[in-house]
Amino acid sequence: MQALPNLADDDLLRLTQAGNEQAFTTLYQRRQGAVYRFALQMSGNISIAEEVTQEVFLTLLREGTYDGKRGPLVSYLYGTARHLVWRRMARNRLLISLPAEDGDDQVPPDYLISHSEIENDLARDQCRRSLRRAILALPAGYRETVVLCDLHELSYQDAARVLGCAVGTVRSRLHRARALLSEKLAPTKARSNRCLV
Amino acid sequence: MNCKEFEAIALEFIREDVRDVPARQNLLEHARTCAHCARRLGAERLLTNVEAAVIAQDRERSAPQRVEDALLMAFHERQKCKPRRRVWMKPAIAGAIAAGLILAAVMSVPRAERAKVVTVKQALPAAAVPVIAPVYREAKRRPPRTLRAAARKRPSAKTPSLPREIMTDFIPMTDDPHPIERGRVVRVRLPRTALAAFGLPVNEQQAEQAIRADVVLGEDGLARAIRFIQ
Repeated sequence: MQALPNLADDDLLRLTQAGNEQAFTTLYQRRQGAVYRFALQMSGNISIAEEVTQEVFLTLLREGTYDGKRGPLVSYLYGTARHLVWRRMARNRLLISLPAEDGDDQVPPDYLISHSEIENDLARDQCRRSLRRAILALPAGYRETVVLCDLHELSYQDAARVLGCAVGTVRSRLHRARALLSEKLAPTKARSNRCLV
Repeated sequence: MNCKEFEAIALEFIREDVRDVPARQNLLEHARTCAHCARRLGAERLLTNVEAAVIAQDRERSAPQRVEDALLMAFHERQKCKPRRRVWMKPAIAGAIAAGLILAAVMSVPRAERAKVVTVKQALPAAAVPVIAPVYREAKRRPPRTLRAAARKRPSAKTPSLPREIMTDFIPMTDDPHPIERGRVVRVRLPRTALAAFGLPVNEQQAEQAIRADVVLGEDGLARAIRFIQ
């Protein structure tokens, strides 16, 4: 029998649904990073990212939710994560935010910068932080396109499948989103000539 | 290459989706001669480089261990519940199907009978000539829900309508002077010679053939009237 790490996603899912724990762990290890990063880059919130990751795989455990004919499993995972992030963002919009306290999950926009890490190139760090901030400030439709196509390096076709829209729409959204990001990065560039990473 | 053409493929060029070498060379050549497009290309490159740095930084980022632990717990819970669910699942499905079939049978029988129930409002004259005008309760037709459905149901002028049955009036089979309040019409097949018993002419050549008839049965099950159908 083929080793589990060599099996395709669909085969691992079949084994998972037949009760193979090792197959589930392999599948989870393979795909959780992408789902978690997508949720984090979309929401900017660590607790949302964790919740979404957990819920995506719980949904997958329920038999019959994934149809292999409609696209690869990875697209399904992104699609489910996207719906869950949207739902949480809509819910959060209805809540009144309180000032952040120590230990609060709501992190500042430069959430992903590891401060323990000693960065020699401060300009590079600043550029990354600016880009993260700029992405979070984009309208959600543009944001998800940039996250999928640029940060997760999905093809236009795969992104269109996840977003449920035409390839042309993905292309035009990405074009517009990148123009907005370039505008927002421009002042950073002016401040530092070392921004070319 | 002009600025418009440059704009059309600049994004693909940055994403390295442009495989065509001459097209790439044309784009770079244009950027060398056009300051605006050179700036645009520079901005795209900068953005792509910063994005690459973000991707590199995020590569190792993953959900904390507690998420996996919670999922494994859910997985085990599911496995525990699974066999129990399967034990009652099959009988439950079989039971549901059987119940559905019985219900369908029960629902269909009265409906079929209901269509045949007649109410004879007209009293039979004691010794008079036998004519009963049965009143049929016709099932109300629901109007079609959509115009398209209406169009589909409307009989077309080209399609010939089905041949209608020709039948005699009801002939009483009893001298009972009381009117029938309720009854049931049953379609039967009789030998053609049965026509003679009611004073109707019989074609000798077709005497062997059967003929269809509707018999009105009273609530007591006795035949009260009959009509012949061609």
